[in-house]
Amino acid sequence: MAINSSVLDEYKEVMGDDWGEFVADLIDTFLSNGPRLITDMRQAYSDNDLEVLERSAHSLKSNGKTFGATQLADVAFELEQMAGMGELQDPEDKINFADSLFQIVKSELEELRGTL
Amino acid sequence: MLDTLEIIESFSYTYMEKLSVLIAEDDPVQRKMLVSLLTQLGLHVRTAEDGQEAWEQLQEQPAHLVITDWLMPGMSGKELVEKIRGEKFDHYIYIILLTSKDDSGDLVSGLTAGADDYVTKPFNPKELEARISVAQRILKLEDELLNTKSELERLAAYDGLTGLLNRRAFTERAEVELNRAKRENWPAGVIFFDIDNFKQFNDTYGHAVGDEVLQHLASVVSSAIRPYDLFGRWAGDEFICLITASFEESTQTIAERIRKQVASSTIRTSNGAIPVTVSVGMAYQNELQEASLDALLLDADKALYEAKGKGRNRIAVISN
Repeated sequence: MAINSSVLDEYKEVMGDDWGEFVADLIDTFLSNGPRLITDMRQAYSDNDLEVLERSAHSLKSNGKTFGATQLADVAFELEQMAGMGELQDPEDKINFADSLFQIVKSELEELRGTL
Repeated sequence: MLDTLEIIESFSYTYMEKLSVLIAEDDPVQRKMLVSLLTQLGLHVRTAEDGQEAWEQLQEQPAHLVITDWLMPGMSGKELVEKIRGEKFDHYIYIILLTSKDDSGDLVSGLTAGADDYVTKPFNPKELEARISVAQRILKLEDELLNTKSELERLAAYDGLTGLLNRRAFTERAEVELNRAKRENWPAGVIFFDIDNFKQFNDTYGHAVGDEVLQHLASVVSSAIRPYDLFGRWAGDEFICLITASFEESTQTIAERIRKQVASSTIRTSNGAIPVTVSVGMAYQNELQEASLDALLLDADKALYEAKGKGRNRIAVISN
Protein backbone atom coordinates (compact mmCIF):
# COMPACT_ATOMS: atom_id res chain seq x y z
CA MET A 1 0.00 0.00 0.00
CA ALA A 2 1.36 3.36 -0.99
CA ILE A 3 -0.93 5.21 1.40
CA ASN A 4 -2.10 4.84 4.95
CA SER A 5 -4.75 6.62 6.91
CA SER A 6 -3.03 6.97 10.28
CA VAL A 7 -2.82 10.77 10.06
CA LEU A 8 -6.41 11.12 8.90
CA ASP A 9 -7.64 8.63 11.50
CA GLU A 10 -6.60 11.12 14.18
CA TYR A 11 -9.38 13.37 12.92
CA LYS A 12 -12.09 10.78 13.49
CA GLU A 13 -12.85 11.90 17.01
CA VAL A 14 -13.10 15.60 16.37
CA MET A 15 -14.88 15.35 13.01
CA GLY A 16 -17.36 12.73 14.19
CA ASP A 17 -19.91 11.84 11.52
CA ASP A 18 -18.38 14.37 9.15
CA TRP A 19 -15.10 12.47 8.95
CA GLY A 20 -16.00 10.62 5.74
CA GLU A 21 -16.93 13.81 3.96
CA PHE A 22 -13.86 15.53 5.38
CA VAL A 23 -11.48 12.90 3.97
CA ALA A 24 -13.32 12.71 0.64
CA ASP A 25 -12.97 16.46 0.29
CA LEU A 26 -9.24 16.30 1.02
CA ILE A 27 -8.72 13.51 -1.47
CA ASP A 28 -10.59 15.43 -4.16
CA THR A 29 -8.50 18.50 -3.52
CA PHE A 30 -5.26 16.56 -3.61
CA LEU A 31 -6.14 14.69 -6.76
CA SER A 32 -7.00 17.91 -8.56
CA ASN A 33 -4.05 19.86 -7.18
CA GLY A 34 -1.39 17.15 -7.20
CA PRO A 35 -0.78 17.01 -10.96
CA ARG A 36 -0.34 20.77 -10.91
CA LEU A 37 2.40 20.45 -8.31
CA ILE A 38 4.26 18.01 -10.55
CA THR A 39 3.83 20.28 -13.57
CA ASP A 40 4.94 23.30 -11.55
CA MET A 41 8.09 21.47 -10.51
CA ARG A 42 8.92 20.58 -14.12
CA GLN A 43 8.27 24.12 -15.25
CA ALA A 44 10.27 25.55 -12.33
CA TYR A 45 13.23 23.35 -13.24
CA SER A 46 13.19 24.49 -16.84
CA ASP A 47 12.80 28.13 -15.72
CA ASN A 48 15.50 27.57 -13.12
CA ASP A 49 13.07 28.96 -10.53
CA LEU A 50 14.37 27.37 -7.36
CA GLU A 51 11.79 29.07 -5.20
CA VAL A 52 8.79 27.61 -7.00
CA LEU A 53 10.48 24.23 -7.18
CA GLU A 54 11.12 24.26 -3.46
CA ARG A 55 7.59 25.33 -2.60
CA SER A 56 5.89 22.82 -4.85
CA ALA A 57 8.08 20.03 -3.53
CA HIS A 58 7.31 21.18 0.01
CA SER A 59 3.56 21.06 -0.66
CA LEU A 60 3.83 17.64 -2.23
CA LYS A 61 5.77 16.45 0.79
CA SER A 62 3.15 17.78 3.25
CA ASN A 63 0.33 16.24 1.29
CA GLY A 64 2.22 12.96 0.96
CA LYS A 65 2.61 12.82 4.73
CA THR A 66 -1.05 13.64 5.21
CA PHE A 67 -2.09 10.58 3.22
CA GLY A 68 0.64 8.36 4.63
CA ALA A 69 2.36 8.25 1.22
CA THR A 70 5.80 8.13 2.78
CA GLN A 71 7.77 7.24 -0.33
CA LEU A 72 6.24 10.11 -2.25
CA ALA A 73 6.86 12.42 0.71
CA ASP A 74 10.50 11.35 0.92
CA VAL A 75 11.19 12.00 -2.76
CA ALA A 76 9.44 15.35 -2.52
CA PHE A 77 11.59 16.16 0.49
CA GLU A 78 14.76 15.41 -1.46
CA LEU A 79 13.61 17.75 -4.21
CA GLU A 80 12.75 20.40 -1.63
CA GLN A 81 16.21 20.15 -0.09
CA MET A 82 17.97 20.28 -3.45
CA ALA A 83 16.07 23.38 -4.49
CA GLY A 84 16.51 24.97 -1.08
CA MET A 85 20.26 24.53 -1.14
CA GLY A 86 20.50 25.51 -4.81
CA GLU A 87 22.07 22.19 -5.73
CA LEU A 88 20.05 20.85 -8.62
CA GLN A 89 21.60 17.58 -9.77
CA ASP A 90 19.30 16.10 -12.40
CA PRO A 91 16.07 16.78 -10.61
CA GLU A 92 14.28 15.62 -13.72
CA ASP A 93 14.73 11.97 -12.76
CA LYS A 94 13.42 12.62 -9.29
CA ILE A 95 10.48 14.60 -10.61
CA ASN A 96 9.58 11.77 -12.93
CA PHE A 97 9.88 9.33 -10.07
CA ALA A 98 7.67 11.55 -7.92
CA ASP A 99 5.16 11.63 -10.74
CA SER A 100 5.00 7.86 -11.04
CA LEU A 101 4.64 7.51 -7.28
CA PHE A 102 1.87 10.07 -7.42
CA GLN A 103 0.03 7.96 -10.00
CA ILE A 104 0.08 4.96 -7.66
CA VAL A 105 -1.03 7.07 -4.72
CA LYS A 106 -3.73 8.55 -6.88
CA SER A 107 -5.27 5.21 -7.76
CA GLU A 108 -5.21 4.04 -4.14
CA LEU A 109 -6.80 7.27 -3.01
CA GLU A 110 -9.48 6.92 -5.65
CA GLU A 111 -10.19 3.47 -4.27
CA LEU A 112 -10.40 4.84 -0.73
CA ARG A 113 -12.60 7.65 -1.97
CA GLY A 114 -15.02 5.12 -3.35
CA THR A 115 -15.56 3.65 0.11
CA LEU A 116 -16.41 6.97 1.78
CA MET B 1 -10.43 55.90 27.32
CA LEU B 2 -13.93 55.04 26.19
CA ASP B 3 -12.38 53.81 22.93
CA THR B 4 -10.26 51.30 24.82
CA LEU B 5 -13.33 50.00 26.62
CA GLU B 6 -15.24 49.68 23.38
CA ILE B 7 -12.43 47.76 21.79
CA ILE B 8 -12.21 45.43 24.76
CA GLU B 9 -15.91 44.76 24.58
CA SER B 10 -15.84 43.98 20.91
CA PHE B 11 -12.71 41.85 21.16
CA SER B 12 -12.95 40.15 24.49
CA TYR B 13 -14.01 36.56 24.55
CA THR B 14 -14.33 33.85 27.06
CA TYR B 15 -15.23 30.93 24.87
CA MET B 16 -13.41 29.23 22.02
CA GLU B 17 -16.32 30.16 19.74
CA LYS B 18 -15.56 33.85 19.76
CA LEU B 19 -11.90 33.48 18.86
CA SER B 20 -11.22 34.73 15.35
CA VAL B 21 -8.50 33.01 13.36
CA LEU B 22 -6.66 33.87 10.17
CA ILE B 23 -4.95 30.99 8.36
CA ALA B 24 -2.13 31.75 5.96
CA GLU B 25 -1.42 28.63 3.91
CA ASP B 26 -0.77 28.32 0.20
CA ASP B 27 -1.44 24.59 -0.21
CA PRO B 28 -5.17 23.90 -0.74
CA VAL B 29 -5.17 20.48 0.95
CA GLN B 30 -3.45 21.76 4.09
CA ARG B 31 -5.65 24.80 4.09
CA LYS B 32 -8.80 22.70 3.90
CA MET B 33 -7.65 20.51 6.77
CA LEU B 34 -7.13 23.52 8.97
CA VAL B 35 -10.39 25.18 8.03
CA SER B 36 -12.40 22.01 8.63
CA LEU B 37 -10.73 21.35 11.96
CA LEU B 38 -11.01 24.88 13.29
CA THR B 39 -14.58 25.30 12.09
CA GLN B 40 -15.46 22.05 13.82
CA LEU B 41 -13.96 23.51 17.00
CA GLY B 42 -16.38 26.42 16.70
CA LEU B 43 -13.87 29.09 15.74
CA HIS B 44 -14.42 31.92 13.32
CA VAL B 45 -12.03 31.20 10.46
CA ARG B 46 -10.66 33.22 7.54
CA THR B 47 -8.02 32.18 5.07
CA ALA B 48 -5.28 33.74 2.98
CA GLU B 49 -3.23 32.00 0.33
CA ASP B 50 -0.03 33.87 0.98
CA GLY B 51 1.67 36.27 3.36
CA GLN B 52 0.71 39.41 1.49
CA GLU B 53 -2.97 38.50 1.40
CA ALA B 54 -2.84 37.64 5.10
CA TRP B 55 -1.25 40.98 5.90
CA GLU B 56 -3.83 42.92 3.89
CA GLN B 57 -6.66 41.06 5.59
CA LEU B 58 -5.25 41.89 9.01
CA GLN B 59 -5.12 45.55 8.10
CA GLU B 60 -8.78 45.50 7.26
CA GLN B 61 -9.98 43.24 9.99
CA PRO B 62 -7.68 42.03 12.75
CA ALA B 63 -7.75 38.48 14.11
CA HIS B 64 -6.98 37.16 17.59
CA LEU B 65 -4.93 34.27 16.25
CA VAL B 66 -2.87 33.80 13.12
CA ILE B 67 -1.82 30.32 12.03
CA THR B 68 0.74 30.57 9.30
CA ASP B 69 2.79 28.27 7.14
CA TRP B 70 6.44 29.02 6.67
CA LEU B 71 7.01 28.68 2.97
CA MET B 72 4.59 30.73 0.90
CA PRO B 73 4.82 32.61 -2.40
CA GLY B 74 5.74 36.28 -2.11
CA MET B 75 5.86 37.13 1.57
CA SER B 76 7.05 34.16 3.63
CA GLY B 77 5.64 33.15 7.00
CA LYS B 78 8.67 34.64 8.71
CA GLU B 79 8.18 37.99 6.97
CA LEU B 80 4.50 37.94 7.93
CA VAL B 81 5.44 37.32 11.56
CA GLU B 82 7.95 40.16 11.48
CA LYS B 83 5.43 42.51 9.96
CA ILE B 84 2.77 41.66 12.53
CA ARG B 85 5.18 42.22 15.39
CA GLY B 86 6.40 45.42 13.82
CA GLU B 87 2.98 47.03 13.81
CA LYS B 88 0.79 48.14 16.66
CA PHE B 89 -2.61 46.53 16.59
CA ASP B 90 -5.38 47.24 19.08
CA HIS B 91 -4.60 44.02 20.86
CA TYR B 92 -2.07 41.22 20.87
CA ILE B 93 -2.14 38.83 17.92
CA TYR B 94 -1.13 35.31 18.89
CA ILE B 95 0.85 33.54 16.18
CA ILE B 96 1.20 29.80 15.68
CA LEU B 97 3.68 28.60 13.10
CA LEU B 98 3.25 25.50 10.95
CA THR B 99 6.64 23.88 10.63
CA SER B 100 8.12 20.74 9.15
CA LYS B 101 9.82 18.13 11.26
CA ASP B 102 12.94 18.51 9.20
CA ASP B 103 13.45 22.22 9.66
CA SER B 104 14.63 23.03 13.14
CA GLY B 105 16.31 26.13 11.77
CA ASP B 106 12.95 27.48 10.71
CA LEU B 107 11.54 26.83 14.13
CA VAL B 108 14.16 28.86 15.96
CA SER B 109 14.07 31.78 13.54
CA GLY B 110 10.27 31.71 13.59
CA LEU B 111 10.04 31.95 17.37
CA THR B 112 12.76 34.58 17.40
CA ALA B 113 10.91 36.59 14.76
CA GLY B 114 7.92 36.68 17.08
CA ALA B 115 5.80 33.57 16.70
CA ASP B 116 4.34 32.38 20.01
CA ASP B 117 4.15 28.67 19.33
CA TYR B 118 4.44 26.07 16.59
CA VAL B 119 2.99 22.78 15.44
CA THR B 120 4.83 20.31 13.28
CA LYS B 121 3.14 19.07 10.15
CA PRO B 122 1.35 16.75 9.82
CA PHE B 123 0.00 17.81 13.17
CA ASN B 124 -2.23 15.86 15.50
CA PRO B 125 -5.57 17.70 15.66
CA LYS B 126 -5.75 17.32 19.44
CA GLU B 127 -2.35 18.91 19.77
CA LEU B 128 -3.39 21.91 17.70
CA GLU B 129 -6.56 22.19 19.73
CA ALA B 130 -4.50 22.21 22.93
CA ARG B 131 -2.16 24.86 21.61
CA ILE B 132 -5.13 26.99 20.65
CA SER B 133 -6.33 26.73 24.27
CA VAL B 134 -2.96 28.04 25.32
CA ALA B 135 -3.41 30.92 22.92
CA GLN B 136 -6.78 31.62 24.50
CA ARG B 137 -5.25 31.69 27.93
CA ILE B 138 -2.60 34.18 26.90
CA LEU B 139 -5.12 36.37 25.08
CA LYS B 140 -7.37 36.34 28.15
CA LEU B 141 -4.44 37.50 30.28
CA GLU B 142 -3.88 40.33 27.89
CA ASP B 143 -7.56 41.26 28.04
CA GLU B 144 -7.37 41.44 31.82
CA LEU B 145 -4.26 43.55 31.62
CA LEU B 146 -5.97 46.01 29.30
CA ASN B 147 -8.98 46.17 31.60
CA THR B 148 -6.77 46.81 34.61
CA LYS B 149 -4.91 49.48 32.69
CA SER B 150 -8.06 51.41 31.81
CA GLU B 151 -9.38 51.00 35.33
CA LEU B 152 -6.13 52.47 36.62
CA GLU B 153 -6.35 55.31 34.14
CA ARG B 154 -9.87 55.98 35.31
CA LEU B 155 -8.91 55.95 38.97
CA ALA B 156 -6.01 58.26 38.26
CA ALA B 157 -8.19 60.80 36.50
CA TYR B 158 -11.40 60.83 38.45
CA ASP B 159 -12.27 61.92 41.93
CA GLY B 160 -13.47 58.95 43.93
CA LEU B 161 -16.22 60.73 45.83
CA THR B 162 -17.93 62.76 43.13
CA GLY B 163 -16.90 60.93 39.94
CA LEU B 164 -15.75 64.24 38.49
CA LEU B 165 -12.37 64.87 36.91
CA ASN B 166 -9.74 65.40 39.54
CA ARG B 167 -7.58 68.50 39.52
CA ARG B 168 -4.70 66.99 37.57
CA ALA B 169 -6.90 65.46 34.88
CA PHE B 170 -8.99 68.61 34.60
CA THR B 171 -5.87 70.75 34.15
CA GLU B 172 -4.44 68.40 31.50
CA ARG B 173 -7.65 68.40 29.51
CA ALA B 174 -8.23 72.10 29.97
CA GLU B 175 -4.82 72.80 28.42
CA VAL B 176 -5.76 70.69 25.41
CA GLU B 177 -9.14 72.38 25.06
CA LEU B 178 -7.64 75.84 25.35
CA ASN B 179 -5.04 75.09 22.72
CA ARG B 180 -7.78 73.98 20.42
CA ALA B 181 -9.84 77.07 21.17
CA LYS B 182 -6.79 79.19 20.33
CA ARG B 183 -6.38 77.42 17.00
CA GLU B 184 -10.05 77.93 16.20
CA ASN B 185 -10.09 81.45 17.59
CA TRP B 186 -12.80 80.72 20.10
CA PRO B 187 -13.25 82.58 23.38
CA ALA B 188 -13.12 80.71 26.67
CA GLY B 189 -14.31 81.07 30.20
CA VAL B 190 -13.58 79.46 33.54
CA ILE B 191 -16.21 79.16 36.28
CA PHE B 192 -15.00 78.57 39.81
CA PHE B 193 -17.48 77.92 42.60
CA ASP B 194 -17.47 76.66 46.10
CA ILE B 195 -19.99 75.93 48.81
CA ASP B 196 -20.84 78.82 51.10
CA ASN B 197 -19.82 78.20 54.72
CA PHE B 198 -18.80 74.66 54.08
CA LYS B 199 -16.55 74.52 57.10
CA GLN B 200 -19.44 75.31 59.44
CA PHE B 201 -21.43 72.77 57.53
CA ASN B 202 -19.02 69.98 58.32
CA ASP B 203 -18.79 71.15 61.92
CA THR B 204 -22.57 71.12 62.31
CA TYR B 205 -23.53 68.04 60.36
CA GLY B 206 -20.34 66.00 60.22
CA HIS B 207 -18.11 65.02 57.35
CA ALA B 208 -20.29 62.17 56.14
CA VAL B 209 -23.09 64.61 55.40
CA GLY B 210 -20.57 67.02 53.93
CA ASP B 211 -19.52 64.29 51.51
CA GLU B 212 -23.12 63.68 50.51
CA VAL B 213 -23.54 67.37 49.77
CA LEU B 214 -20.47 67.31 47.55
CA GLN B 215 -21.90 64.37 45.64
CA HIS B 216 -25.25 66.02 45.18
CA LEU B 217 -23.61 69.21 44.06
CA ALA B 218 -21.69 67.35 41.39
CA SER B 219 -24.86 65.90 39.93
CA VAL B 220 -26.97 69.07 40.22
CA VAL B 221 -24.32 71.15 38.47
CA SER B 222 -23.68 68.50 35.80
CA SER B 223 -27.18 69.16 34.51
CA ALA B 224 -26.53 72.90 34.42
CA ILE B 225 -23.67 72.66 31.95
CA ARG B 226 -23.34 71.15 28.47
CA PRO B 227 -21.90 67.65 27.94
CA TYR B 228 -18.86 69.03 26.15
CA ASP B 229 -17.91 71.46 28.91
CA LEU B 230 -15.20 70.33 31.30
CA PHE B 231 -16.23 69.89 34.91
CA GLY B 232 -13.92 68.93 37.73
CA ARG B 233 -13.43 68.90 41.45
CA TRP B 234 -10.66 71.34 42.13
CA ALA B 235 -10.11 70.85 45.86
CA GLY B 236 -12.18 70.21 49.00
CA ASP B 237 -15.43 71.99 48.23
CA GLU B 238 -14.15 73.92 45.22
CA PHE B 239 -15.35 73.04 41.75
CA ILE B 240 -14.34 74.26 38.33
CA CYS B 241 -15.74 74.38 34.80
CA LEU B 242 -14.16 75.25 31.49
CA ILE B 243 -16.56 76.70 28.95
CA THR B 244 -15.24 77.21 25.43
CA ALA B 245 -16.71 78.60 22.24
CA SER B 246 -19.51 80.49 23.94
CA PHE B 247 -20.38 84.16 24.05
CA GLU B 248 -19.77 85.94 27.30
CA GLU B 249 -23.48 86.28 27.84
CA SER B 250 -24.08 82.58 27.42
CA THR B 251 -21.21 81.76 29.71
CA GLN B 252 -22.61 84.06 32.31
CA THR B 253 -25.99 82.39 31.89
CA ILE B 254 -24.34 79.10 32.72
CA ALA B 255 -22.68 80.60 35.80
CA GLU B 256 -26.01 81.97 36.96
CA ARG B 257 -27.74 78.69 36.25
CA ILE B 258 -25.23 76.88 38.41
CA ARG B 259 -25.82 79.26 41.28
CA LYS B 260 -29.59 79.09 40.90
CA GLN B 261 -29.88 75.33 40.54
CA VAL B 262 -27.87 74.79 43.69
CA ALA B 263 -29.79 77.41 45.64
CA SER B 264 -33.20 76.21 44.55
CA SER B 265 -32.63 72.51 44.88
CA THR B 266 -32.98 70.99 48.27
CA ILE B 267 -30.11 68.71 48.83
CA ARG B 268 -31.45 65.66 50.55
CA THR B 269 -29.05 64.00 52.86
CA SER B 270 -29.35 61.36 55.53
CA ASN B 271 -29.82 64.35 57.83
CA GLY B 272 -32.90 65.61 56.07
CA ALA B 273 -33.18 68.43 53.54
CA ILE B 274 -30.44 71.02 53.85
CA PRO B 275 -30.23 74.37 52.11
CA VAL B 276 -26.96 74.89 50.28
CA THR B 277 -25.66 77.79 48.27
CA VAL B 278 -22.54 78.45 46.23
CA SER B 279 -20.55 81.52 45.37
CA VAL B 280 -19.47 81.65 41.75
CA GLY B 281 -16.52 83.39 40.14
CA MET B 282 -16.34 83.59 36.39
CA ALA B 283 -13.39 84.64 34.23
CA TYR B 284 -13.86 85.29 30.54
CA GLN B 285 -11.30 85.87 27.84
CA ASN B 286 -12.37 87.27 24.48
CA GLU B 287 -8.91 87.49 22.99
CA LEU B 288 -7.91 83.93 23.41
CA GLN B 289 -4.51 84.43 21.89
CA GLU B 290 -3.70 86.42 24.99
CA ALA B 291 -5.04 83.89 27.39
CA SER B 292 -3.51 81.12 29.41
CA LEU B 293 -5.15 78.68 31.75
CA ASP B 294 -3.25 80.17 34.67
CA ALA B 295 -4.49 83.66 33.89
CA LEU B 296 -8.06 82.45 33.63
CA LEU B 297 -7.75 80.58 36.90
CA LEU B 298 -6.35 83.60 38.62
CA ASP B 299 -9.18 85.80 37.42
CA ALA B 300 -11.81 83.21 38.28
CA ASP B 301 -10.38 83.00 41.76
CA LYS B 302 -10.47 86.76 42.12
CA ALA B 303 -14.05 86.82 40.92
CA LEU B 304 -14.99 84.11 43.40
CA TYR B 305 -13.43 86.12 46.18
CA GLU B 306 -15.43 89.11 45.04
CA ALA B 307 -18.67 87.11 45.09
CA LYS B 308 -17.96 85.93 48.62
CA GLY B 309 -17.16 89.46 49.74
CA LYS B 310 -20.43 90.78 48.33
CA GLY B 311 -22.55 88.42 50.38
CA ARG B 312 -22.31 84.93 48.90
CA ASN B 313 -24.89 83.01 46.87
CA ARG B 314 -24.10 85.14 43.85
CA ILE B 315 -21.88 85.35 40.82
CA ALA B 316 -19.10 87.76 39.96
CA VAL B 317 -17.49 88.16 36.57
CA ILE B 318 -14.09 89.34 35.42
CA SER B 319 -13.84 89.59 31.67
CA ASN B 320 -11.08 90.58 29.30
